[in-house]
Amino acid sequence: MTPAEVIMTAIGLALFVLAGGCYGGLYAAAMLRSSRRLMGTAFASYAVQLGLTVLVWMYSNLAMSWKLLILASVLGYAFVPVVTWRYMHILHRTGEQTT
Amino acid sequence: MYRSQKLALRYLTAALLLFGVMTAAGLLSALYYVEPSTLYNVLDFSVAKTLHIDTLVIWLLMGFIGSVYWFLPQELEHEVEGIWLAEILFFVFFAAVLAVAGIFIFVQYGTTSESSLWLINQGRKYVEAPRWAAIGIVLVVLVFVYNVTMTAIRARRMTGILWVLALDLIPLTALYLNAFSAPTNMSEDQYWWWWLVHMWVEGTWEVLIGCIMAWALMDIFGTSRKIVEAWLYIEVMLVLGTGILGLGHHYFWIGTPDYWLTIGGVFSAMEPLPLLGMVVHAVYDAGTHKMKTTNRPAMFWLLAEAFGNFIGAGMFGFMMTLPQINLYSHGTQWTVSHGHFAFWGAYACGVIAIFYIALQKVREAEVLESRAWKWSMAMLNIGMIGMVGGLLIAGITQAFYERAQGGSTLQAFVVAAENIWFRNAMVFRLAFGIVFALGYLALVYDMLTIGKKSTVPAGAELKPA
Repeated sequence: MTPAEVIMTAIGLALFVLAGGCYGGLYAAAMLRSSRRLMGTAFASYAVQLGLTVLVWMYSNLAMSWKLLILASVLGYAFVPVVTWRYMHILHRTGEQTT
Repeated sequence: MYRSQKLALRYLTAALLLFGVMTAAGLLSALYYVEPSTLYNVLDFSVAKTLHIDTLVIWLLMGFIGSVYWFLPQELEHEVEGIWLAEILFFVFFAAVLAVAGIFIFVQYGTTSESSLWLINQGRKYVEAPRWAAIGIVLVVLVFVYNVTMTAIRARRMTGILWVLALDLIPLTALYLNAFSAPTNMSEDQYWWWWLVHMWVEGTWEVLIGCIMAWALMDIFGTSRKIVEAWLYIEVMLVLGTGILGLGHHYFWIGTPDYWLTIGGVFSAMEPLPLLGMVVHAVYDAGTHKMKTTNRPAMFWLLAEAFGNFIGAGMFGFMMTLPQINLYSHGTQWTVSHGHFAFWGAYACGVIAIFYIALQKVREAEVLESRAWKWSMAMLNIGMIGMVGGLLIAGITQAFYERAQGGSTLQAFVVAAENIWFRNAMVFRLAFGIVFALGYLALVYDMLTIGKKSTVPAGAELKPA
């Protein structure tokens, strides 16, 4: 990798995780408030994360195996907030029923 | 109040003091980068850095131990067994820390020998403490293990959180024994040393803080035990699932086989995912309670923990963990920026939350509120973000000019160190270090005053954040 590619790829990866974090946090906030606007922002964050995945895939000189790993993890980012939220919701509902 | 909780207060007070020593030593270390002749031949950079790093480990450890001594008797409704022994060892521990600090400051000269390993410095980062002090740490931890297990046995009660804690104490103790080894082969040394450093930080400490946070959630939100325990099991499973083999990212470039590049890269890349789950959990918990609590400082520090952990460990870690990037970033100020943010988010914020939880009970404040906690929280976090920003710019400059462009030669090292971006970034770091130090002073002021006079009338309606 050239010096510039090292830095640009690293920044791309940082923004990738940040966008995933924004999606998770906003998704949870949107579910809490039943807010469509927040949910739209959450999905926009995820779209940014997908866009960053495409940029890293196309323009970085990372080995194909690492690109595939990033592709797999972007799918993980899609499901973690949804699954966590559902699990928390079920847990709280059954927890409240038993107490 | 239980005797164990009085001991917890001593531990938490000592942790707060050492947090201050760490901050002061960190500021001094930052100053050397801007004014390299500072305290020349009086107090070397290496000593200030050692003090900064070792007090970081010790204040967090004291914070964890104090937190467990605080919650344990509440959990089991039983005084901690062998508390007298723990009380004696607290003073031994604290005296040993002062003695070691004195040795670091005044006796760091001369040749290395078997006796210097025992009396002065073991020479391995994070575990520099001489062997006599390391034996003392093992003793303190063993008594701590005895306290926890015997209390559970005598109380004839075992909760899910305590099971996780008790099991975690085994590797916590066993891994530290590696502090005593002194292999002469550098690769071999680094290989096992990372077992101690990584497995403590990204393994046993994560589990320990998970148990403490479970108790904290029950305390400030009244969340049911069933909920926190179920979530604790999942988090422990996910964190250990990715964290144990995430060890591989420390095995890059130290003479280990190539397969560690793949193992380290894959598992490190997965590490942000459980942290994302924690962010969702934090938003859920705070939201379902409509941000209402009698202890807002503790609640906000708990939230800071979830977000700080995700950004500091997850985002800052992932950007430099793939081997193709890490080849250039490893060991630069880039790593330092990740280390600062990750420790802050994963552990320091959580321990500060416990300070406030303990204070609310000690001061018998129905509602714990002040202005100072907001100032201290703002300054500490802005200071930390500024510092890691400065270190990140400095590290990227090093990776660019020294590593990728200069090929890691001595000349390239000098070129990078003299680069205007690097130098300005270090000034930036120092400036925000001062903001952080002011935040620490505000925190101490708040700890001394909050809840002493009732600012909120008893029975007043809880304020949403």
